[in-house]
Amino acid sequence: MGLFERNLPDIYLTRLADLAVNWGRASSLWPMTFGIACCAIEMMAVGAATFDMDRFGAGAFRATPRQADLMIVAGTVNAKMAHVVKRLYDQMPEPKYVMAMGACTVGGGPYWKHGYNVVKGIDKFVPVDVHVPGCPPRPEAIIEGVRFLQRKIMAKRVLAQGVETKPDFTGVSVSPGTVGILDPTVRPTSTVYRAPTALGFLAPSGGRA
Amino acid sequence: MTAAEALEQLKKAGLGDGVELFAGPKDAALLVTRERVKQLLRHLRDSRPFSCDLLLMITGTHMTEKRAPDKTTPDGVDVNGGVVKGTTVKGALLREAGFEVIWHLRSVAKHHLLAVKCRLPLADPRVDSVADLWPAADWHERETWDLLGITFTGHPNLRRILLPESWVGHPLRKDYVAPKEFEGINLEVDAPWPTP
Ligand code: SF4
Repeated sequence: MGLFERNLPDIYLTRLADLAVNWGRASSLWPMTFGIACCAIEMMAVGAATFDMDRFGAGAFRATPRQADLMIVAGTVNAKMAHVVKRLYDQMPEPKYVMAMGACTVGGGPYWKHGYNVVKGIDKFVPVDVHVPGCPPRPEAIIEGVRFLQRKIMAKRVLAQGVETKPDFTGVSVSPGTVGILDPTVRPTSTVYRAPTALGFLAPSGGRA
Repeated sequence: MTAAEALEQLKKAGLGDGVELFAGPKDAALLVTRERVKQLLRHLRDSRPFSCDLLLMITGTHMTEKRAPDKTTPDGVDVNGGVVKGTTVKGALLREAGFEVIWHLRSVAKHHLLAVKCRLPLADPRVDSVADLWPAADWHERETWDLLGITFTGHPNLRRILLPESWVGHPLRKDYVAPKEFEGINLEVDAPWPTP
């Protein structure tokens, strides 16, 4: 947002503008077509008809980092590949988000102890927004990760100054327990997907429960 | 054709010296000295009874020393009633430490598999390349060199194939110590997770 980035007074109007921008960003996350190892098979499944990540606005897999917002790092990252991952991350335009998918990218996974050239977690060289554990994670877990990310994006400040609010994760989990960052005591309020709710007041009646 | 039959055939052809039978726990193989490797493999490829036209794979192993279990005699009592300490005899050396290279050959025409092994000393692991006999050997030998540091003399392009060119060491050796960092990428393991 260039000149105005988090530079305008924190008033109702700028907050409303933020909401509109964030809603746009969260609702059309374009992931990068980039699979490194076995986890990529599940990432392909999540893009295919059965799980269909396009329902959540995140199904337009782009073949170039320059058109992508979301890097799903799906697979074992070793020392040789780490430079490539980092370069791809650097080539993505802002705003950009990273999902560490699978035990390998979260913390080394099966190669944690004896993987002499495996990076023990990609957060050692790129900032990670969501960790999705599993070996490999179920497609539902990836969807859940995307929904966590959407809530995180909705809480961001774009134009208005001020401290960012904490993301609201209630009701995100479609399959409790698959994504580790969720408080296990929180249970999904509904299994029906609703669009990120910040602009929900614009939806026709019945759009909010 | 089993390895034993293959050895018979080789002896008939006058190529038997330097080749013995390796009776493994499951499948037998031909154990050959490294001077004879190239000649033997060429024979296995070209001669009619073998016609091993397909090289399935080349692998290597780093073998540690293998000994029979130590023998300890129990403590005894001498004539004056004193205690005599038992002695421990070190077990006999069954296998020296070293490298082993294995070639798996297949004959498509005759439907048989053959394994050829060669033992190499730890200090000087080098053996003839067979990349000119089977083009498939090229990458397999590069991989064996990459991970174990076994030199294949006469290979056209003996470079690393899996690890980055600038990697130091050969990771499948038993004495290999994994690096903590490679070209700015941190490879360290984080502090152990707290036990719940
Ligand atoms: S986490 Fe498991 S499935 Fe995913 S890349 Fe690693 S080993 Fe493969």
